Amino acid sequence: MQKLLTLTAVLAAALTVSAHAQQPKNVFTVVRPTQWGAQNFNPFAPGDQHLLPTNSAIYESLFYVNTLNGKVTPVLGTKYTWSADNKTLTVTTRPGVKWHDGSAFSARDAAFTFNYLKQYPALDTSAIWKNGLASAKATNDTTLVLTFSKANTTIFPYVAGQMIVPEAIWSEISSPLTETNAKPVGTGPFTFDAYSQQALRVLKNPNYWMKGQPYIDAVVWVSTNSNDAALLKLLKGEADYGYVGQADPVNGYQKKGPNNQFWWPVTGDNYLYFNTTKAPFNDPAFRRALSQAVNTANVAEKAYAGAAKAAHSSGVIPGQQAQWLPAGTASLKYDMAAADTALTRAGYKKNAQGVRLGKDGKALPTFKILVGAGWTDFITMAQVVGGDLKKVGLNTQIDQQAWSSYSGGLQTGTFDMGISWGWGGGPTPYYLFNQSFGPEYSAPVGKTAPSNLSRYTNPAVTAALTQFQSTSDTAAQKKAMATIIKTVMTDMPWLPLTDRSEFSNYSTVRFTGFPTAQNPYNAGTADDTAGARLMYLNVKPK
Amino acid sequence: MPYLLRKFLFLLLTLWVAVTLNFVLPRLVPGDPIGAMLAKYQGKLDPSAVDALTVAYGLNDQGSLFTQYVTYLGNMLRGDFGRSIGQFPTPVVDIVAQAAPWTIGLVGICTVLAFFLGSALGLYSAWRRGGRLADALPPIALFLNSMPYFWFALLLLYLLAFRTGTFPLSGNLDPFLTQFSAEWWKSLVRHAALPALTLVVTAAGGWLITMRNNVMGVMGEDYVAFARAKGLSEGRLLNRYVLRNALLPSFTAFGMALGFVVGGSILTETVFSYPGLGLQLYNAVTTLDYPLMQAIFLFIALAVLVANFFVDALYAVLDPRVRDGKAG
Repeated sequence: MQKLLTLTAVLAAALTVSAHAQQPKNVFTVVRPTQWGAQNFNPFAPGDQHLLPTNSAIYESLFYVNTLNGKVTPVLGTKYTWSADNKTLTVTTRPGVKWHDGSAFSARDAAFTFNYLKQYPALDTSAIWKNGLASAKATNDTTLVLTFSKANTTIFPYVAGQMIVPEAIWSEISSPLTETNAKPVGTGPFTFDAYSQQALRVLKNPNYWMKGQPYIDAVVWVSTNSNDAALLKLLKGEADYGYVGQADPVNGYQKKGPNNQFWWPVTGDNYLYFNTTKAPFNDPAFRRALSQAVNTANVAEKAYAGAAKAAHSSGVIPGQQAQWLPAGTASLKYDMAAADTALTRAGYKKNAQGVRLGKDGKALPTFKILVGAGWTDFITMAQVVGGDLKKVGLNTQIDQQAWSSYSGGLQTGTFDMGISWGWGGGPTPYYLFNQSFGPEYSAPVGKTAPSNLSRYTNPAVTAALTQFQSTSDTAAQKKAMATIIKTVMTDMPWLPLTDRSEFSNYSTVRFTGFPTAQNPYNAGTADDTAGARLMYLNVKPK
Repeated sequence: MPYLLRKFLFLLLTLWVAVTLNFVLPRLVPGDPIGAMLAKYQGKLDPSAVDALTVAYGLNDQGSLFTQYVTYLGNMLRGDFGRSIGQFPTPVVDIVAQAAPWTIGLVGICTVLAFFLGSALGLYSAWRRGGRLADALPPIALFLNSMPYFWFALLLLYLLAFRTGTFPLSGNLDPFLTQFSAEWWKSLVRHAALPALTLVVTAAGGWLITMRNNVMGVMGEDYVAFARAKGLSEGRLLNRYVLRNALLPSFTAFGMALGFVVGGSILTETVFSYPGLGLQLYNAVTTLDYPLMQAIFLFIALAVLVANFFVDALYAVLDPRVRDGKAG
């Protein structure tokens, strides 16, 4: 009995000591404005179906492609080359990298991962095989060779961003889609430590391949269920970082503390989508006149109080993608009088009451502008757009819908006009145009169109997209891009309204090394992305 | 047929109707979960993944409506609610099992507490009518009861959590504590304090008014006057004659309240980010997570029915007329 008691005491003491030893010192805390689900670290599950550290802290991809400027940062891959015909991509993988369980990483794991996507097509959420990957082989421990059935250089960001998993573990898993992978083994800078509905913790990987990094001992994610609650935690200093959208980041966050910073780089636009399957929106002249009638500068000012600017009417983000804009491409100018004349000239006359008539001579109906219910920024935009269109004799009505009807309406083509963001994006404007106007992303009205919301296709655009995709020569790509931009700006299937930003907010009380406009090493993206991994690697305790 | 058996058969019948409605309703709701998910990724998820995901989520063609219904009933009986869509691939049962104790613990205890506290104060207020405190209680109760719950919760959150930092802003526990340690319990109580306070304060007022009215009604009855005239002691009068009869109407309402613990928890749990069933239901609705929605709805229906069954049973104990089948 005496022995047993001593043993228990020793055991208890040992447990307390280990519990204390486990408390990490420099903890970087991230606050989440949403909840998360069960303990699932499956890197193949799309988006936020898996827990947050999966793609940012635990697993790694071959490269990180910064969507702001297209800059490629080597991760598990150290270098890549396209063959002359742009059909073979050779990637050199990093030697000396260890998985969290101590075994060695090699190009064979990468080859296995890509072949795994072929074996289980449901995992291939960026459709790498469907878009022409023909084979994935490791020719030795550090060389991965991917061959494609057609020239396809634009697939690179998807290949680069695929999370790589260890062959030894995943080859044993027979139903990878429902696998929750509760004890993840990756190559990333952190290893999984603790999970609960309130907080997640990962600890520094002492064997990480970057010597001396990460500088912090742990990352903790804390969950709240709204932007307001998350912002409160940031303001109280309970969190160091939060990806939290706000109406006014300057007054709402930055001015409330000397160490409060935000970096909201522009990574896309908000658009007024025209449903080109409906008359009179099927008439490019009508759409162009409408686009000219809307004062986008005023839209941006009213909706974002100066925090966001009017978009360039090409849809190209001028800041970082300006090199893709053909020289001298001016944004469409706001000109109410010109719009008025253009409408009349296109066959839409006004009656005595100033109401615009259709080509058949009957008064045009009141058009609906679809927005999300309660989304104040979009509602304000719709109000300004409606006011401007009223001036040229068109009546509109704001149509607020809950999320599922809103997205469903946009995708099934039941709307007249709708305000939404760009459905697609990437390091060059190609990705946005491809997903917005590619025929394979469209569908007949009533069926779900994945992302071609305007349901606009044009053979000239489709051909130029293929040209862009099949070359790695920047000059040739620029030529194709010029065709796309010229065609789209003539046909105006959408009207780019305002800039759209990422929402990185951080406090420099305890850490430095955050990405900024001067040092944009990531794109200010959310806390569970490959871009966030770069932040977790670069933040340093003060 | 004996009273309780009749009530039990009725419970089964209602449960079947609830289960069937649960099957039909989501199929009438517009929108499709995969489309909504695709939209959420703003074009970052490739459309060709959609077909694969549809199969994986079990949302592809599953045969005729009747076959689906039979399969659904069979699964239900085996306790298989499918996999969550919003938290794929976690089985729905796991999510419910994880969330239910928090809701039942917090809202359940608070509902009971509010009932007893409110009823006791109501009894006091009626019994000691004319006293300063007793007369002050009803207006206060009316005020607290009519206060918008959401507003009161946010006010408490702002004053006691944000400004003073006395209580945590959200959640149910501090992270990374050893389960059931002293620290853990302390954290649990600290986190539950504000949501519990809002729940009890706003609910107790209602019970107070109800109980006060009941007691006053009973006190006006002839048998009370008769008992008093016979010279029964105040204590005996209160316990045997007044309390028992005044409690009966409240009990029905209490049964309903107990049943609605889960449904009524949505507001509390969203304001305080308390990870119970209400919050899960809220999330399920926003992500069109049908399997999870169905399971929680069924849970609510079951709770309401079972609570009512127990109230009926209790009624039989309290009211002899019911037991004998002469009334009710």
